[in-house]
Amino acid sequence: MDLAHLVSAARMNAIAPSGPRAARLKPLLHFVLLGALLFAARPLLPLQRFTTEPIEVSAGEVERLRAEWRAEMRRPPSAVELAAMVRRHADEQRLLREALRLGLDRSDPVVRRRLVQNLRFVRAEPAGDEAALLDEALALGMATRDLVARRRLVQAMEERLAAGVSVSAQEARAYAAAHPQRYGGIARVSFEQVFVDGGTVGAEAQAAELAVQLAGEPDAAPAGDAFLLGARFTARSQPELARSFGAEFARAALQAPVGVWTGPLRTPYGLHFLRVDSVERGGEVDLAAVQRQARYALLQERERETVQAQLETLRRRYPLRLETPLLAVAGAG
Amino acid sequence: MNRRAVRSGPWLLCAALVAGCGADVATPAAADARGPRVCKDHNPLRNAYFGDLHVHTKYSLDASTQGTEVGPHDAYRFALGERIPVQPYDEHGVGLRSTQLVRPLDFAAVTDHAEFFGDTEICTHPEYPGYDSPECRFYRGRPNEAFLAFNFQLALSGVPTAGGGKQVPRMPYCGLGGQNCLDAARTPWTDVQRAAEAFYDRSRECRFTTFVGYEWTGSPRSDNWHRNVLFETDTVPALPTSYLEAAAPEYLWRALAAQCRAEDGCRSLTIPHNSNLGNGLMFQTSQDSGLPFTAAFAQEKQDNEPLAEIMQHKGQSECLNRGASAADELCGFEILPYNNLAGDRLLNTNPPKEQDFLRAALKAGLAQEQALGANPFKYGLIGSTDSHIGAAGQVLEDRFPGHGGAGQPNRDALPAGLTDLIEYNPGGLAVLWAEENTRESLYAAMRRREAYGTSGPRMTVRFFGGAELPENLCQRNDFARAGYAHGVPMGGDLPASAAGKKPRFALWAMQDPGAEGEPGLPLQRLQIVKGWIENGEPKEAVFDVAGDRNNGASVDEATCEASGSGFADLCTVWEDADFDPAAPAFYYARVVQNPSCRWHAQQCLAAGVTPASCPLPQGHAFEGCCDTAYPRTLQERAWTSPIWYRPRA
Repeated sequence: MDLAHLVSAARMNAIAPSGPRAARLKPLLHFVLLGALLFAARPLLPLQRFTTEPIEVSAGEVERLRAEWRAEMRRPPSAVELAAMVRRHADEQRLLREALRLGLDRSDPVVRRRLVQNLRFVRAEPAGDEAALLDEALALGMATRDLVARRRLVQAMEERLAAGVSVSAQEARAYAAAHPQRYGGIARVSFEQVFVDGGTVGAEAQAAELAVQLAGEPDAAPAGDAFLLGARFTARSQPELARSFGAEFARAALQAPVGVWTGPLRTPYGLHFLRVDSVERGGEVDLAAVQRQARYALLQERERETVQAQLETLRRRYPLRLETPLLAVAGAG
Repeated sequence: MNRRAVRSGPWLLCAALVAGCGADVATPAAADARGPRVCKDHNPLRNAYFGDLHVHTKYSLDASTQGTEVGPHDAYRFALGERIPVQPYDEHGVGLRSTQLVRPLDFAAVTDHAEFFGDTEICTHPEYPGYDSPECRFYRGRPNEAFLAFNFQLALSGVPTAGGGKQVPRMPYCGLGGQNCLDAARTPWTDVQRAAEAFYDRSRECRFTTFVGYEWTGSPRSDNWHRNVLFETDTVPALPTSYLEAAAPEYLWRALAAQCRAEDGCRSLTIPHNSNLGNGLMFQTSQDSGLPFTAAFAQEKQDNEPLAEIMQHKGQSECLNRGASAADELCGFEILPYNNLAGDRLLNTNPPKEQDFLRAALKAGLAQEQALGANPFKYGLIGSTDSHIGAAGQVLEDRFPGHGGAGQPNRDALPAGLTDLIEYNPGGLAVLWAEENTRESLYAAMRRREAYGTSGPRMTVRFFGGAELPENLCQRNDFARAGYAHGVPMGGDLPASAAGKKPRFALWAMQDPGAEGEPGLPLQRLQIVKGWIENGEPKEAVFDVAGDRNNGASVDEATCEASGSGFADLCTVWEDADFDPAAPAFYYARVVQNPSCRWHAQQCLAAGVTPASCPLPQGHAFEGCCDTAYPRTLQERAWTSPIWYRPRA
């Protein structure tokens, strides 16, 4: 539907009153009707010309990416890394195009603030009409040239692409059940220990004596040497024990038989005898407690997948065109 | 209705915005339905939890220009010990490289720069569809009443639905299907909150704790004034106050006081970092207005800032090896050669200032307390990383992926060149003594300063102070119980004691036990650092209290092999013989590990560059290996929060 049709339709459908007064009002009526029709048609008119031009990446642009990588990583990129960078750059350009098409350069507050700030700084003008400054900045193409504004536009666009994703309670529960290492119960052990400080002279001999004593009189409760973390440990998981004692001790503690003295186990600190009181197997997922966490984690994964899928669409809409094949460029520098 | 209240009123749109929209969700916190949660690892004598409270992700736009995709969710996954892919990304968005922690952290906070969030909230932004809804007009017109309505919604438990599940009623302006809220929820600040919620273990396993937070990035003239803001709960301001809204820390605190109120379930604190790059700004003793500190201002500062980062990626901030600390050779550790943030671009070669270091600030705090009655620099000490690739807690010297880089490429050969500026380092860790691994418990530990920082390794350190501490504490299996009973832990204030009695300090440190592929190193010695005011002059002294500085431990620079003996653990009860009851003082402990190779020396070694290779031709990728300004070896360490002594009137 174009403008000419709208105008003729308005003319034909307008109910024109008669008489000399009406003759003067007619143009006004048309004007008002036209205005109303245009106003109503506004959402149908695209903000910008919808382009399907490919994304051009010049050799100079590739060189710039290579230099950026070098400055950041302190070494040149490999061929694989360069290709990935170019792909990412092209994806960014696609997102930027979409962002501009949707007018985000005008509506996003971070972008607006940044562009206005830039111009104020350049002009050394603390005041100034924000709207006019924004217009000027946009006319200068600053929205896509300024690093902060550009990154923000890309982010804002990604956020829009991910809109509408949701996760149901059932899906969250299934996700939690499928990730027991994150949401499940953990095996825990409660034990008492007798410690022989490895730093004291005769530690090995003392440990040997203790081993015999504990085997003969399990409830004798010999004191052993003092240990910072004490002698009783309740419901410790393997990671927690590893943090305090080291990985080997933690493994052994979780596998030690209940009710009998085990050891000596060696850590950097010395020799340990331990008697397990109880073991909690773990493995169960407490769905009620973790459902909300699982929901948010799954939501984010879904959003990421959605953005990737949307990017695929954008890649088809805006294909990549390299000025020079990457292999040739990669050989240089 | 006061229109200005819209700006400064209680704008809390916490989990209401985040949780109430979209799909079904069960009761906000399972604990509500089943009683308060008690973690399985609950220990009334407290456990040591290791974490990182300074992590940046893609939302901090100064992260790698290579389009890093590591967001808050990935950073938390990394902290939990999962492998995360990092840039560059292939055509399916999958990272070609990856990185992983050998030992997960217990807690972490993603703290991206709030200046780049630019969040809008649905009711204040005309572009969002819900802007004109009756609820939003109500919200704009009467923000206090609207706020109550939002929180009431939070308090509702799930309402049964026809399908058999439960639903928390949505905010009215979320619209049908919650679409409006989903739209509004697409902002970095809400993503940060959602990530924190996704990975905070609210079950009794208490595996991992997250904190919602951000960085307030004030750097006038490139002088560092930065602080991280941490929130205890998921009730946080709708818009984080950044440097763009609050141009000095006191304005930040006042904005927090207005927007984050305890009666609404919101609590916050701020943690300054990189005072070493402050160029005199961080510990200036005047307000932003130019007026000197008042007692009220000093108290306000103390109340807001219980902790400071003593160690992180951009150097240590404990002490400068010049001036008052010249005799302390350990102060030469990880010192940056410039005094503000412009340094790494070689714009500023001015040397660091003594007053920018925490030991000097702690002394200045004592003097301020004498003059004003309140100590504005009463800082507990922690470490963190300030990782900009979301690699929370990646502190190992031998696989430092660098500020922007990330681990070894999967298919390529070793990278040529050091992975970061030579003056930087992998950063440190924050350690908190808390009853259990929950937000409430860890936050309370931060508030009472029962915290210490490490330069990377995981030593376990206990520090108590008190004149009544038993002398034989090191021989007792109930060291901690007796310490709490007869004294105060790190971060505390010495209790009053009978006249003539000198304070004692009990210090027990265990070496890092290590992990697979990550061996721990023995300790070399324990020290206690004392600072005090004598006749109006700040003084300091460092005491070796256990171990042996001359144990002959060393590192072979050609192979990075450590040799020599050390101590698996060290314990002592030390009494301050020179104690003067009229002099305000602080005491903190420093735990020193045997020497090891610095990160750059390890990378040089891996590249086949040894000291014998020097000098290298100019422009060589590993030129930095020959830079003698950076020693190839160092001694990792831990610093406890101080224990303060205040003379009784």
